[in-house]
Amino acid sequence: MTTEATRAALEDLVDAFQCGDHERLAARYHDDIDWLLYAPMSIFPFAGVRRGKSAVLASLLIVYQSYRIERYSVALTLVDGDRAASISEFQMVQRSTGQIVTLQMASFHRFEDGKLIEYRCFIDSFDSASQALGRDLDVAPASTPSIPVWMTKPPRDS
Amino acid sequence: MSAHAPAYATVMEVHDAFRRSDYFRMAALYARDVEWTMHAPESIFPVGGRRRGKGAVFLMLLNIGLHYRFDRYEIEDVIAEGDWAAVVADVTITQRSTGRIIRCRTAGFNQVRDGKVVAYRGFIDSFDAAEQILGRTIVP
Repeated sequence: MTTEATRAALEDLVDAFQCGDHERLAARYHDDIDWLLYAPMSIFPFAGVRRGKSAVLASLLIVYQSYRIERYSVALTLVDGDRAASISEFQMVQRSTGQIVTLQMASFHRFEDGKLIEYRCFIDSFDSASQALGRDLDVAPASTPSIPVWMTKPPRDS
Repeated sequence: MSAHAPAYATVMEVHDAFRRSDYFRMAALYARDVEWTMHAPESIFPVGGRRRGKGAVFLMLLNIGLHYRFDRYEIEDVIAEGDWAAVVADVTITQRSTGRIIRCRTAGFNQVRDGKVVAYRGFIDSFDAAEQILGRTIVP
C-alpha cells in the first residue's frame, strides 16, 4: 500500500471508532489480524494477544461492555508505506464503578489491502490499572519482609 | 520510506549510541532544551515522568546506568515521517542490586529539528515491567 492509501485507511478506522460505527470498524480489520495490547488481563480482560478478526471484535465488545468511551483523539500520526504509528489520548468511564481512566496510547499499525493486519498498542499500564481500580497499587518489592499486623498497632492500655 | 524522513538518520544514530552506552555521542544529538516524557510511574522507574533540558535527561540516564545493566537492545520497528520517528525496541536489562532480569518492549517517539532530538515520548507496559522489577506479581 502507498503511504497515502495507508493514511486514508487509518483515518477511516479512527473515524469509525470515534463514531461508534462498528460495521465500518469491522470492515477495516483483516480476517487474519494480529492484535496486541500490552496491559494486564487481570485488570483489563480485553488486553493481551488476539488473533483473527472475530477474536479482536470480541475483545472490543468487552471494552464497550466494561467502559463508556468519553474521548478519543489522535495527537500524532506517522505514516510510512503500509505502516503507521500514532499517539492517541483516551478517556473512558468504567460502567460498573464510574472510575474515570485517562491514558495515552502509542499504536503501531500495518495495513494490507486497506485492512489492518497487525496492531500493537502500548499504554502506561501501571497507571491505567491504578485508575481502573481507583487506588494505588502495592509496590513493595518481593524481598521486603511482611510486617505482622500486631506490630503495626499501638500497645493496648493495661 | 522511513529512511528518507529527515528524522530517521538522527534517531538511528541516537539508538546506536544508546545501545553502545556512548552517552557523549548521544548528548551531542539532543537539543539543549529537549522535552522528555516517559509514560511510566517515576516511583518505580528511574526513567519515568517528565524531564526538561539535556542536563536533566542525562542525569536520569546516568541514574539508569547505576541501577541497571543493559544486556540487549534490538530495534524491531521504525516508522518515520517528516521530523518524527517512532521506534519499537526489545530491551533486556539486569537490575544490579538484585540480579533480576527485566525484559520489555519500549515504544519511543522522537521529534528531530536541525539534526537534534527536541522531544521524546516513551511508552512501556509499565505494569508488567513493575512486576519484573519488584520480583513478584502485583495483585489487583
